[in-house]
Amino acid sequence: MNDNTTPLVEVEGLQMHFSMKGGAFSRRAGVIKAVDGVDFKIFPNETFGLVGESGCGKTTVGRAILKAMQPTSGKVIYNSKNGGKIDLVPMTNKELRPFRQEIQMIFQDPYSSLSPRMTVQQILEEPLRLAGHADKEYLYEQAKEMIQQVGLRSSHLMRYPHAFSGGQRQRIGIARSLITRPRFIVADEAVSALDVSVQAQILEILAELKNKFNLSYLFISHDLSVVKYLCDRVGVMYLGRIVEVAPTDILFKTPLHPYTEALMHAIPDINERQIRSDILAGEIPDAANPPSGCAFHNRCKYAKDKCQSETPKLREFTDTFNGKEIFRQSACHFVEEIYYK
Amino acid sequence: MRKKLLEYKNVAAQFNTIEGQTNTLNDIDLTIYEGMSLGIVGESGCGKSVTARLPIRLLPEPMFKITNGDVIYHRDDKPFDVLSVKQNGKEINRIRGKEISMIFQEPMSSLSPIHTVGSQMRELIMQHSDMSKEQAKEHAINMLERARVPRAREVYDDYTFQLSGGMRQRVMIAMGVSCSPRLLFADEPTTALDVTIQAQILGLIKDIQREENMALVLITHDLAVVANMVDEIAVFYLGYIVEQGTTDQVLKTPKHPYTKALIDSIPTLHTSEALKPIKGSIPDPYTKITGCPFWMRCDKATDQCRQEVPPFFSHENDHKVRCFEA
Repeated sequence: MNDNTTPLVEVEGLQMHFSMKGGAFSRRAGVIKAVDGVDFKIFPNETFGLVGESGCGKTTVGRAILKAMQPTSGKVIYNSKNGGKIDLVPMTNKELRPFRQEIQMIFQDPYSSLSPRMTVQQILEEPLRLAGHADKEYLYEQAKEMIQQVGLRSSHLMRYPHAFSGGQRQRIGIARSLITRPRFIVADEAVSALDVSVQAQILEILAELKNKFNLSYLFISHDLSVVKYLCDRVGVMYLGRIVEVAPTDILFKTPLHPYTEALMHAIPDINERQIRSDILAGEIPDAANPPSGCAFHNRCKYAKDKCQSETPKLREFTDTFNGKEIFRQSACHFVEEIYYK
Repeated sequence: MRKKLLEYKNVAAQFNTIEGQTNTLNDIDLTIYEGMSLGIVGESGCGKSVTARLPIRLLPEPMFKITNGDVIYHRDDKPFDVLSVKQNGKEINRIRGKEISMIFQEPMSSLSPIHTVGSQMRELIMQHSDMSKEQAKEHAINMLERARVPRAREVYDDYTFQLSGGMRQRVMIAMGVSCSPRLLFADEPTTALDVTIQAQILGLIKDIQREENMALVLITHDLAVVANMVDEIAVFYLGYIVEQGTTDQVLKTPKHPYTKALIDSIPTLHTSEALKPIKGSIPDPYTKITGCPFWMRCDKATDQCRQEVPPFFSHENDHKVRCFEA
């Protein structure tokens, strides 16, 4: 049995390096450290958000957990339904197969992630067929139930994806992920391609289904406001590393890392009528050639000499929030000096 | 008294495709004044980009057809109907890129990949002025510097694929304002960018608008982006302007149910209220809707809404709303 204090997924020291080969036109060959030592835990029925800008490695983390890519090193420990804790990283595809039903994915683009040649019924039944179910009656019943769970009608099962709008397609994608009754879902930018009025509907469905099916999500997004709405805890990534982890409420109230702080300032707000004067300068550095020490030091307004030479570690802090004691992490040398004055 | 720059008078337009006919614009009545900043907000298929492309005739005619109305461009106090001339004729070429300019969403697909930044900018500048090659180069570098492109002189000789997304958008902006336009359309200029870069680019557009005293029309799906960028907002839905007013009027005291719902369905960082999504989805463009474009998704819809299109009615202080119930 799982209780809510044993993590469902534990990521330890995850690294994903890509080597660049020196071809005729590339002047340099080297290693891109897309993910460079990432640790976090996701608990049962928890939504863990992973935010960051493009190139920070958030998508790669999701793919490495799903084993869509073989990580360079590290552990992904999954607390399986009846097999106890297993490390997914060294397993072969064949060994992974029984666990595929338990870990599913929701894709970003509802247009390219559904086969245009399959009816919705076929799309929904396929994961079950792959899992060995063959009883037609059973498959149809499952598809019918799931399509209703996401707010569509069973008459929609006979149609092809082209007959649906973006929001409806995303619902179909969600139904397909849920049909094998997974326990853990990786949702990579699941609402980014949708119009705002539809995005809110999908966010509500995700939140509702999480409680109904006791799901845990790894919710990957670049949009902090969406993450704030949906997630229980959030990890902020910058250039392949996690720079801060905290429960959502406290993260947005009092960030403990200069990058999180800057990121929140950069987001336009409908109630704010002023242009921020303290916008983050500079661009995201090239991952093939990251800055020394703390990767953020060249854009950080608090940076000191130490930041250039020494890479900060993710350290634990204790805070009180709404009368409760809360654990959080930050990878900044000067948390105490900047935020706990 | 504000001086009129561009007027849309009851414009209706459609696309005729193999799949059918779309009512892309319906009864668009909009005036852009000199030096003003206007935000056009709406979701996909609302006609916001078509509205921006119309005055410089960037739409694929004859598939795109204006069925009603005029678009009047005011220059030297002389009104000029941009729809009355040839699509790629002399008259339009004089305006396009020079007096009315545009920044697009995806800088990679709107800049040429086979020409250097410099040669693209120079071509545009020389087309619209009598500058020599050297003068045009200096002017282009000057514009790149104003768009805060670091190492502008080197970037001038770079190809666009060598630049990052934010840098490409800066080049696009430098190009867009290099002929000192009177009106700049920015069509989703930051949608493809990361938030920290988005903040930089928005600040840059605002600064340049102030310095040049040009009119700005910012087109976006993101209400939060327009909130601190523009003086006035027009909200589009399915080819209609459903609400228009000052930024405060539209965001603080919205009157149209769609505007209200849109505001309620955006998650924000500083409040933790529950989202109230709008029911249903945007109808596909080929459906014919009688009555108010929003009635199917509106909680307050009456029989009148289902049958008649509401007029674009002016409330106090020129706050215009297209709704019977407002």
